[in-house]
Amino acid sequence: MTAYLLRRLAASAVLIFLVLTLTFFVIQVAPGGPGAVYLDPRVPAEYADELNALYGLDRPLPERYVAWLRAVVLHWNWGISPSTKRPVSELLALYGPPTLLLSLAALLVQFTFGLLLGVTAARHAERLQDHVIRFLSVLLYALPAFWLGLMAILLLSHTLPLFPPGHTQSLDGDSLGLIGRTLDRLHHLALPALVLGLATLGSVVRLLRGSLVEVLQQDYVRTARAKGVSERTVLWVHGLRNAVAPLTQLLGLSLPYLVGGALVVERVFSWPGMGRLTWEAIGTRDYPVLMAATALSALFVILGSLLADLLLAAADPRVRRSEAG
Amino acid sequence: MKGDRRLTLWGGALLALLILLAAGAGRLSPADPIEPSDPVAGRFLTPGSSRTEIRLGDGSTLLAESARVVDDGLEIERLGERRLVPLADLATADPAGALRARSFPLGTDRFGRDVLSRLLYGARSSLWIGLVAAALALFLGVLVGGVAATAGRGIDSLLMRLTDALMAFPHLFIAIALAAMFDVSFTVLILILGGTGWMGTARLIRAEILGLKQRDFVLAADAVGAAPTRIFFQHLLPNALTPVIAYTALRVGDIILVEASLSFLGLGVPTPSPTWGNMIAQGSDALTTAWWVATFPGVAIALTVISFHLLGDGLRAQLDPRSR
Repeated sequence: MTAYLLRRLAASAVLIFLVLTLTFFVIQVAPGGPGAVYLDPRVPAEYADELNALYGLDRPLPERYVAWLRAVVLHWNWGISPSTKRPVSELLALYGPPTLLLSLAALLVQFTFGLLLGVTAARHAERLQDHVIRFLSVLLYALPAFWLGLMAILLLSHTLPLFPPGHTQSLDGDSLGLIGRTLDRLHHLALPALVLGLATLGSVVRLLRGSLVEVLQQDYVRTARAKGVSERTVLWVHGLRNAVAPLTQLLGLSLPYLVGGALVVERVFSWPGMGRLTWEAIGTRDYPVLMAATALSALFVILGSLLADLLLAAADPRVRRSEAG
Repeated sequence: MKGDRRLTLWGGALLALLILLAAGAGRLSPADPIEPSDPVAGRFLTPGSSRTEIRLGDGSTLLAESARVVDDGLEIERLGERRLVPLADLATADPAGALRARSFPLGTDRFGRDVLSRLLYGARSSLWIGLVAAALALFLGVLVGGVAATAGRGIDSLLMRLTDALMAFPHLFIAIALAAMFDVSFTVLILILGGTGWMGTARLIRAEILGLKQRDFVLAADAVGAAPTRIFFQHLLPNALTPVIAYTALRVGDIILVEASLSFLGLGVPTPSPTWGNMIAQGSDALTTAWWVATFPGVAIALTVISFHLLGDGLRAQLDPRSR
C-alpha cells in the first residue's frame, strides 16, 4: 500500500509541475505578453521600462519562470492582480469556497441520482425502465448546462416560484439567525447544484449501469441468488460493492466536467465563485488571475482523481497489486 | 448487435437531416438572420405569429397586424394603431405588390429577428466548427499518439506526460483562457477547440497501436522483414483507427457543447453572426418575457449532440467485435 501511495503521489506531483509549467508558458504567448496589462499605451517609454523592472518583466524568461514557480509552490503567491491591485491568492480565498461548495453539492446530486438510476436500469436491463433511463442519460449529457439552468429558473423560480433564481443568499440573509441563514443558503444552493449535478449525470448512470450489469452476471451473484439472498441485498451489497471501482474512477472522470460546468452555471445563477472571478479577469485581461484560475481548475481535477484512486486502492486490494508490477 | 445498428442509423439519419438543414440555411430560412424586417413592431413576436410585411420605397419594411388596400395607399394596423401608408411611400406602384405575408414559426427576438432563420444559420456555424475542430483534434491525436507508440520510451513518456497534463485542464477552462487571450474569429475558434481536444484520441490510438504490436499478424510482418514504416501504415494505423473514428464522432458532440458554452459566455464567434450559444445568451436577458428565444437553440444543441452520440456509440459497438 505504501509503495502504491508513494508512486501515485509522485505521479501527481509531476503532473502538477507540468500543469503549472504549461500555464506559465501559455500566458507568455498571449499577444503582448504578460506585461501588456500593466502598460497603458499612454504610458511613456521610460516609465514602461521602470514598470517592467518593478514587476520583474525585464528579466530573462527562464529566471522569471523559476521565480514564479517558487513563489506559487512555496508561498502560494500567485502575484498581484493588476485590475484589482489585490494579491491573487486573496481573491482565490474569496471566490474559491463558493465554487467548492457548489461542486460538492452537485457531486452529491450526481451520485444520489446516479446510483438510483444506474441501479434501477441495471436491475431491469433491456426492459422499459432501462431504455427510459438510458435515453434520459443521453439527453442530460446532450443538454448544455447553462441552458438547463435557464430552463430551471424559468420553470422553478418564475412560473412556479419554488427557488430563488440566483445568488448565494437573500438580501436580508445576514440578519437571519444561524439556522435561518443556513436554510436560506441551502435554499439558494439547491437549484444551481441540482442543475450542475443533472447536467453531468449522464456518464455516471451509463458507467454504473454498464458495470452493474456485468457484475450481476458473475458466478458469485448467481450463487447468492441460489442461496435465496433477497434481490435487494444482491443488488445493493453484492452488486454495488463490486461496481465500486468504476464508481471511484468516475469521480476522477466527472471532475473536469463538473469544474467546467460550474463556470457556466455560476454565470446563470449569479454565483460569486471562480467562474465570476474568471470572466471578470477576462474582461480586464487580468492574466495573473486567469493563470491562477486555470491552473487551479487543473489542480482540483488532479487532486480529485488522486483521492479517488487512493480510496479505490484502500477498498480494493487488486488495484494495489496490479499496479505494483 | 441489432439494436446498435438501429441506433447508428437513427443517429446518422438525424445528423444527415441537420447537415441538410444547415447547408440549405440560405434557401430554407424564411427571413434574414441578421437584418430584422421591423425592429419595433417585430420585436418578441410569439412563436406561430404571422404578420403582413409592407415594403417601403426607402428599402425598409414594416410589419403590420393587418393591411388592406384603399384608394390612396394602404391602411395598416401596426402596434395596435391604424394608419395610412400613402402610395408614394410604397416600394411598388401597385399597393398590393408591396405586401407579403410573413410567419414566424419560432417567434422573434429582441431585435425582431426571426428565431427559426437564426437557428438554421446557427446550425451552420455549430456543425462546421464541431466537425472541423474534431477533424483537427483527430489529426493531432493520431500524430501524437502514433509517434508516442512507435518512437521509443523516452519520447513516449515525454509525450504522454504532456498529454496527461493537458488533459487535467477542464476542456472548457483551457478553451476560455485561450479564447480570452486572442481575438476570436471563426478560424481561431476552430484552432483553439481542435488544439485542446486531441488528448483522448492520442491516448486511445497509442494504446491501440501498443496492443496491435503484440498481435501475430504484425509480428509476422516484422519477421518477414517488412519496413517499419510499411508496418505502421499498412498494419498498425488502419487497425488502430477503427475505434478512434467512433470516438471522434462522440467528440464532435463534446466540442459543439464547449463551443456553445464559449458563445454563451461571449467568447465565441463574434456577433451578429448567429450561433446557438449566443442566441441563448441573448435570450437569457428576456427569459421571462420571451422564453422562446433561449429555449429553441438549446433544443437544437441537444438534438445535434444526441445525433453524434448515437452515431459514435453505435459505431463503437458495431466496430468492436468483443461487444457483440
